[in-house]
Amino acid sequence: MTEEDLKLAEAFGALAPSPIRQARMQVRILEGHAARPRSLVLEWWSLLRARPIANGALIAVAAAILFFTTPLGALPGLLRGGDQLAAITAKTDVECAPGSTKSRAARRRPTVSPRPPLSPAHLLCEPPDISRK
Amino acid sequence: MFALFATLYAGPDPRPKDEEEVQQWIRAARVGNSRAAKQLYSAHVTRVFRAVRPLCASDADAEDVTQDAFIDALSNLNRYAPRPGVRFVGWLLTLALNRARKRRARAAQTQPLSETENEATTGSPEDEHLRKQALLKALAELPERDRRVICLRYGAELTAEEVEELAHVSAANVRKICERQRKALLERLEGSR
Repeated sequence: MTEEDLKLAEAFGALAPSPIRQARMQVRILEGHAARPRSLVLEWWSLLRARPIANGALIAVAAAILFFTTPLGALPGLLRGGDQLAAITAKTDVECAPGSTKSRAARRRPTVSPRPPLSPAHLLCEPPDISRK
Repeated sequence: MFALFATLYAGPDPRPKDEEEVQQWIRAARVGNSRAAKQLYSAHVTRVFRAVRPLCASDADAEDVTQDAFIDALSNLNRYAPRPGVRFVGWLLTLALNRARKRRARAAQTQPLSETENEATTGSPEDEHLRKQALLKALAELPERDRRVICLRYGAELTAEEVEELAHVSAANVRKICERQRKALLERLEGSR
């Protein structure tokens, strides 16, 4: 840079923002930056890209905590036995539903075989002596 | 949990030693580190403001332009891809210059530039204020392209090659423009004292 360059660069120093203006801009910019719309997936991806090993380990720990401390861990088992579970659930729903007539009848009397119809010969016979029994 | 990780991921020291350090801040700011965002701001705000000030009608306009450019830049850091020979400040200035151009186009529809260019600034010491007004007046008399080149070269302290990228003028032409207009500007500044 020549001497003239330096002179002009120095003159441009007068255009610098005042400290008050600078502080005001900083507050607005950082507020705007914090309030920007963000995609969670993109942010996690950025974390991985920034420091793959360290942040990858942190993410793995977070996933493990989430897996073991929430019902999330039971999901794979449920998905595997999904068909059995669906059958059991359907049966239980039908039998134990609060308004179900089938369940009410089943609870009231046990299942018995139907009596054979009475013939006219039965009417002529003497009734059995119950007291002897 | 994410906020905790972002906080744990501490950014580097506050003053940039080179472009590599700026790139570290960018990587940290991308994952939501507000300290790194603040460092990026502190390192570049003066250069951006000085470059856009002569292209805006007033200090308040330049403040808005600078502010919007920084918010744009910090919100879209994922889109920033470093190019060889162009520093981060170059990308930042592209955003700021576009903002300034749009604002001036809008302002030109409502009022002529000459009426607003030398708007008084409150709060500055008298001497500095006069120097600033003299410089703004001298710059306002330059052709649009030359003013842009001079602002980028001396206001943002870019190299001729970086100005070439931003102003779409060859580096040789940038040097010629600077040489020609530098003399004229200094003469006008001397004459105003």
